[in-house]
Amino acid sequence: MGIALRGLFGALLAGALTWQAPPITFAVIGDNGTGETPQYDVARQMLKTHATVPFSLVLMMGDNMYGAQQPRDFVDKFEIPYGPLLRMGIPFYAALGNHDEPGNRNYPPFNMNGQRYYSVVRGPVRFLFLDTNFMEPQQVQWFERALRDATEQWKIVIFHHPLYSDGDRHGPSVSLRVLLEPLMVRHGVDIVLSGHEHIYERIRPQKGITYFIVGSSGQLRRGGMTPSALTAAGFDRDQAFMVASIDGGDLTFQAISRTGVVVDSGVLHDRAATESEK
Amino acid sequence: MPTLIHDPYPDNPTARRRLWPVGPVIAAILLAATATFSYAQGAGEPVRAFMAATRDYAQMHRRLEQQIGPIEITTSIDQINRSIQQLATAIRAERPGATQGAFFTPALAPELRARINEALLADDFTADDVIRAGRVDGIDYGRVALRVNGTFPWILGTAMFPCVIQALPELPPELQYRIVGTDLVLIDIHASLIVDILPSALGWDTER
Repeated sequence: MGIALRGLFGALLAGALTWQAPPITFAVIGDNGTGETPQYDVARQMLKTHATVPFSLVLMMGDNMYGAQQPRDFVDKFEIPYGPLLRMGIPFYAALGNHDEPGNRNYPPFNMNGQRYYSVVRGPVRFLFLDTNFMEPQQVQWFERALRDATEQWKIVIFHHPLYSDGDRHGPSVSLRVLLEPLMVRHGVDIVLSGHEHIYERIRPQKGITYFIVGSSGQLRRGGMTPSALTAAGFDRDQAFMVASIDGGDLTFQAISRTGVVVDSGVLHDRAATESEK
Repeated sequence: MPTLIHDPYPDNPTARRRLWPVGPVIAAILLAATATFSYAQGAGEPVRAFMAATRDYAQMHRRLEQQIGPIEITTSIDQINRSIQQLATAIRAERPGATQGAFFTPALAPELRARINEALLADDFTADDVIRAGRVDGIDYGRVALRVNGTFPWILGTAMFPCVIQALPELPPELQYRIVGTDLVLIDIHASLIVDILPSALGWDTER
């Protein structure tokens, strides 16, 4: 009996030591709020994808709403296209883009809880959302504190303006990079997701961080990218969105076009794992 | 480019009248000496006055917001917009004679212009970089009029270069800066209200 108990305890202890947060799967959209056909096409493709890759939340990179932002616009540019996903209880979490009115932080389906910047924990991931339209000292201090205090295995940062970009329209936000990159490197950020440039792009890891631009889930700048040595992958011929799944130290991702073609895919490892491999 | 409606800077006739009887030469010497003295001794004073003014503004904003009630978190966009407009109306009523230059005072303006342009230069940017970014971002904008106590048109899609924010005096959370064209705009972001405008904030090198 004593041996059996010790065996059970040992098994439980071993289980506790090897316990991992359950996997989490999420979708990423950006620069989507046009209310036009391509946005609706991408939303339908997201729904189709959900049948095989059942993501449990959607991250929005900003420019969630273009042009007028009256009640009807929230219906046409958000509630109708994503209605089936919203009715399934899938929450959307938004960052503010430069075309979003700040008052939109009070719209509950964006899950910002009235805040311009905030963080959310899901499974092994801390998602941190910034408002890069105005990176004032208070926000920078909050960001550094939140990164420092985060104990999750994965740190994923979401903001509108990309620090690295091969997009021809805007290019990288170098001024923002000078401010944010040192903090993110120091505190072990794994992934940065942005929009603004109306293309899809994955940047080769920079100082250990992998950068994605998902800025074509509604808007598109066709042919709007000139690949460089930084480019790991890119797609500028049609609208796109992304799905990603995190299981332990692995993040598996796919970028999917409006017509359902997988235009990029791969597996990334969290920085702790990557650094221990070195 | 947006059309900007500017008020002229307020003059200071009282000081001029006081000095005039002493004679133009003495007046000129005194004015020059005062200007030099002010810059050497109290370069921070206009900034301190600005920060005090923004703190006072934030207190007024919070008092009104308490009276009206905070902007609700609600799926009713009408209700959110109504709350924003109510707050803006209350602030306008509190500052009916708000004029351009009340926060960005003539004494502060050269300091801000110099800070902005020095910050850009330090990070290898130019005024043209900021203007170009504003123009590219503003995909929706046509002609808009900016005036103190008017509604800020978010449709402009402007975002601030972080190096410029860092160089400017810190603001209470209710207020933010934006650059529109070449002008610096102070905005109450809860009320979407233009609080002040500093014309031609970009493109000055060392005026201070």
